[in-house]
Amino acid sequence: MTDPHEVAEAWVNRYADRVFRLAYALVGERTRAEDAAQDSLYHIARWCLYHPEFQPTDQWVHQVTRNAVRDMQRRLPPPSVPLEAYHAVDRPQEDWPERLDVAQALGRLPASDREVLVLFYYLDLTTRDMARTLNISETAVRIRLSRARRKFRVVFERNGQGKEQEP
Amino acid sequence: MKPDKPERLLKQYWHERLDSLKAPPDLVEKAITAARRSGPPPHGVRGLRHPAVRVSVVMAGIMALAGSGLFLMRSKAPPGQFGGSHALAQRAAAGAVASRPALAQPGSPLTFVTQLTRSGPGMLWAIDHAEGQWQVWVRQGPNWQMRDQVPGPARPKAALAFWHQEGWLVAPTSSGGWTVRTTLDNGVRWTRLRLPSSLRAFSTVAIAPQPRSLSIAFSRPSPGQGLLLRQDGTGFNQVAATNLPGEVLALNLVGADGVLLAKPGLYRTRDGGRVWSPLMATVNAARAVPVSKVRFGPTAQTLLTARLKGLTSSWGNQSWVVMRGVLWVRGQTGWQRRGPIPKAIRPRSLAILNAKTAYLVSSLGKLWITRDGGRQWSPMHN
Repeated sequence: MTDPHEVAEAWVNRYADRVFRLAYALVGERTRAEDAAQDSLYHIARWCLYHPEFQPTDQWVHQVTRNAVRDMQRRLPPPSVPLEAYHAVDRPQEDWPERLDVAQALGRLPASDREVLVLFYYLDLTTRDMARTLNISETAVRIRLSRARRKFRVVFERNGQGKEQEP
Repeated sequence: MKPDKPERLLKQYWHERLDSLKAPPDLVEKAITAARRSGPPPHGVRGLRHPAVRVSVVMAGIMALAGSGLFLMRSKAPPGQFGGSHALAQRAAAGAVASRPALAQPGSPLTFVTQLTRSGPGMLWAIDHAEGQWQVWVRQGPNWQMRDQVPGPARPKAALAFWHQEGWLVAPTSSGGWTVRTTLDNGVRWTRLRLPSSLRAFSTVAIAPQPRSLSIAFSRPSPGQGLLLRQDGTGFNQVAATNLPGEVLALNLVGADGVLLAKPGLYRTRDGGRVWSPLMATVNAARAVPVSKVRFGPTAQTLLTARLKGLTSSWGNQSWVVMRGVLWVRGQTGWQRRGPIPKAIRPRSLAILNAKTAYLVSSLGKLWITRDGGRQWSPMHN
């Protein structure tokens, strides 16, 4: 298979689900995750199409997705509500009632903390891979991870969760 | 090692929600179609040149130096930097993807910092204006991170306030009005509040966050009418203030009782902000004097806070106050004079990070830092 179009398409298809899931985990909302995923896939396709010798790695794809999410979050205007309806503004709405506690706790964490938790607990990356993905030292990754874990636990347990439920 | 319960739930949560997710087919299609139309990436992804391009540029540079007799360095690129293999090229690519163009951070020559505030342990906030945007920054750990950007003119000044994780940013818009953004999670997500168009008439703003309530005062530089937006848990109410004394620098409203600091002095209301009467009209706001002798019963502390806004910062057992160019610090043993603030600073806002470290905003919008409890101040990013 030497046609660059086919090569690019194959790479994009290979990474599409991974990119979309990672974007979803980082932003926690479907529409924005689709926007970020589309940006990321576009970058991947563009690289593979015009530089056929370039082979994307998982780490590179994670970085592209992360940057696309960050760019999108910075670019999009926040949702707007009339002043009179301010009291109705609450924590971000989630459509996962069975896990609302986890979603709420995640929603209260800064994006940088959510990011390390996603990489570690969802993508199962090692701290070394995380360091490469985030372009920071392994020590910094461990510090960030420990801080994010601690914050998540504090927020989660403050919500009245975190007590062991016996079956 | 089995993760503890919250982390186990987190893992389970993501896997349950995400493992079955599929990217919509049109997403892939659109991405490929757009890539075909776009042409090759001129600078790669996020400013990245393709590794092959980078190698050729470096080699061309080396050849040029060699040809001119200046070739003193080794000709072979260090391993892992510009190597020719795919693996090395990809490493170079991956590294470059992660690097971002540096933003003008608070304190850099491109920015004009107007205010500092804090929301929790170690969380310091700054608001600055740069390149036509108001920018909200948080310093958590060693770096500043941008949390929000609002396009708008540099004047009038925007205002930022936090109460624990809840924050409000009131900024001017280019159309002459105001915009309010609020966050419930320490600036991670923001919501924009649509304001009445009548606010275009006002040119200054002050915010007073309280437990379970918020007041925003819009005023003019000259005495006259103003508008208060009061939020008390059930929504915002608009209160027309009939006789504001001028630009409101700080205010505090608890129920019907409140005080405000304007340029002419201190004023008090007993009817929720409609009518204001002078309390210490002879006090020049620029020459702060202790006003804690004035007691309102439960709101006495409120008055002190209002009076010294901008040049006080407290956290835990520590309180720092700048009065008449002198820094005072209250610790375990009461107030201690820490020494004069350098005259060049002319402080406008103060925030302490911990017992040793604090920041000041100068009248020129620059950040100054002390790392020895306020004895020495040095400019940042100069």
